[in-house]
Amino acid sequence: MVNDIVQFVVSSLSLGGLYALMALGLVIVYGILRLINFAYGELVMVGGYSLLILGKTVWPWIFVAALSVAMAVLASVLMERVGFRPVRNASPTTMLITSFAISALLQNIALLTVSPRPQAVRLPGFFVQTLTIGGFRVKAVDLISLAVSLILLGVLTVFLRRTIMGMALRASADDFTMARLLGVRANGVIALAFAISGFMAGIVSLFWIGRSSLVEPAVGLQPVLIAFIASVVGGMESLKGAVLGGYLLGFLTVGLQSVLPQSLLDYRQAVTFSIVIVLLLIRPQGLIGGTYAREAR
Amino acid sequence: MTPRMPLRLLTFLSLLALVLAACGGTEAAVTATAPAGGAGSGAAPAPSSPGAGAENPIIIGAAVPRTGWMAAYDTPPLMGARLAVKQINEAGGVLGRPLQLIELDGKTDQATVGNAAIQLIEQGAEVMIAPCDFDFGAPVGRAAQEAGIVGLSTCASSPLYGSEALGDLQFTVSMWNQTMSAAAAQFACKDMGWTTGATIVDTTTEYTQSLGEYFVDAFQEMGCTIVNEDTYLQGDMQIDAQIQRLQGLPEPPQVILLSTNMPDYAMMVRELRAAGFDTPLMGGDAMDTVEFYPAVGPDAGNNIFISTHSFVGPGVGPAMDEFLELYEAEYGGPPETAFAVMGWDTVNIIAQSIERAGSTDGPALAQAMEGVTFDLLSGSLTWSDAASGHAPDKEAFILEVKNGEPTFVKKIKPEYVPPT
Repeated sequence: MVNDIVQFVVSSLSLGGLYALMALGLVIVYGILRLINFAYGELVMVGGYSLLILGKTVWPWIFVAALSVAMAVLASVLMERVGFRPVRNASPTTMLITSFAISALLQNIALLTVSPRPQAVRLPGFFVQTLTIGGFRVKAVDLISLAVSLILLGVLTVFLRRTIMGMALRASADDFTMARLLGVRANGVIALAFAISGFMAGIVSLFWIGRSSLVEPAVGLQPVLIAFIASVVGGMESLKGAVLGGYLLGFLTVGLQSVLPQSLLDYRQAVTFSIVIVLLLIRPQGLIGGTYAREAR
Repeated sequence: MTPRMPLRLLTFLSLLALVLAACGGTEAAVTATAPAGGAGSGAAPAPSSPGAGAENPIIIGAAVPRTGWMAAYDTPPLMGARLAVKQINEAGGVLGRPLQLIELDGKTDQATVGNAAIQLIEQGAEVMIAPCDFDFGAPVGRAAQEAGIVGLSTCASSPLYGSEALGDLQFTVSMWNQTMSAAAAQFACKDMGWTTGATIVDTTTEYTQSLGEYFVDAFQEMGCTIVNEDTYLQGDMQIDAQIQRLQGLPEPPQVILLSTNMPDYAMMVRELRAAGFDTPLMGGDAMDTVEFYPAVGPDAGNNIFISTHSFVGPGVGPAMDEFLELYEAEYGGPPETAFAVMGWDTVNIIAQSIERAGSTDGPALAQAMEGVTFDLLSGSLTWSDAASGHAPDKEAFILEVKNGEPTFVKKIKPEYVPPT
């Protein structure tokens, strides 16, 4: 029984941490541009294909992984520069449609240049290893993703609160016009937000693709959906909300699969989304609403 | 400068996301459907051999997904089918006419693949090759039935794929799931003596669900015990809760049957191994893909047994060796998986039956296919008549995955086959 609970908590926290990172990458851009970047999933895809292509070299895996994350960051910054900057002052709908266009474009580039079929990437052995800690058996990769998500959340918090760039980012998210009037450079801040978003996507791609070790053109679809739902539940305008939403969705996903009776398991998604709908009816602004300014107080 | 996104738009998007997510694992179809360049648009006639005259060919339509997740199952049969068409044409064609294969990408989308079939029929297809799965093959089968022509699925193994659900001109070259599952159950329970079993079954498609149900039926009928049955939804990409339930059992099961599709199959195996289960794992034909083996690799790819259509490699028989030689000469490498032989077998059945029927007329051709025993690379096959559903009488191949590579174990014609 204790074992069950430990395993439940570890896997929920691990999955929730992954979902929280996905949601953060989406919300950090939304905070500044009011853009839900649906091409975010394709950044996960870029990370995955980098892992595939760079993994064919003899370089150590950790180096390949770091480069793949860097590729996702690069792709994200380029995406902003080429795709979103020209339409930055257009209506939110235009930007939204642009994000769909970029998503379709990137997927099709992968489809045409690599393969429409899933490809296996090189992964180190710890992705399929078990650890026994104090009598509890847990997946090694669960502990790693748990640790990585906690460290990243911590680093991001410090970055946003303690550095000039982080403060500029928060100020811009709070009131972009005011921040610009006070001398914050719009292009720099937006590029920074996209870089962080790409970084999150890169990290997510390692663990998401690590589950099946396969990368395919549509691999980013599920992460972007999860990120979107988690951030809507948590509150689109708050980074804390995104993290909370991610963990909540993680616990819901694992929890419902564990507690629902066998006959209802087929309807697990329906139950999950019913809970989401009820939450949104009670708190349409998400669990944590408001701006950074209000958060800081 | 930065107008806020209107709440209404947000609400709409939330709903959109819910709908998309609720569609279950078929999301891949939503976006992976863009035209695959020149190859995806319009029918691309297969290269016919130079010897065969192009006048008045017998046109075989192939409306099958070449993109999306079903491509893993439909591309290899297509390669086998093209090779068979070329071989038959070099040997003089059928009834003095060459065969011509016309193809259209079904994009792993049920509506698209059905429309592709209709388009191919308009282009003159006289026989139709349908996708390797009931959910995607049925729209093609129905279109063929409506046009009065024979349709054959290369490897749909759901017992729904037959004359009862689709019409008296429709067949599947695969064994049905009853056979696939019963062969797996017999191998586990009788041959290996694994008396307790558990299942994790993807309920998203007919194929995955019925494979699991028949395994449970056959395993118990043979005197072994199922200790846990669990479900999964395609695209979840995590089985944490299922693993917890298995860990919570008083006695771990001696074998676990998994039933899903790729890439989820690779995830399940990896996650179970990561959670410390060294238990023998079993899977259906959908596991036997070129993607699966490198994805599980030498780390996780051991002690796995697959019940499938055939095995492409040495040790099966001279006909297989000959096929492999032809295949390598044509494509410069061995077939990806045993699914390649399903396309080869399908075209050969079509050619032999047209020869026997003397025409491509639907009812005459269907009659020439019923009750005849075909000697195929995927084993011998006999279809029952239309009244009894075109049930295929076929044997299953059991493969073992060792160090991430498939090896041939044995053929099984199960003693007990669950009722439909």
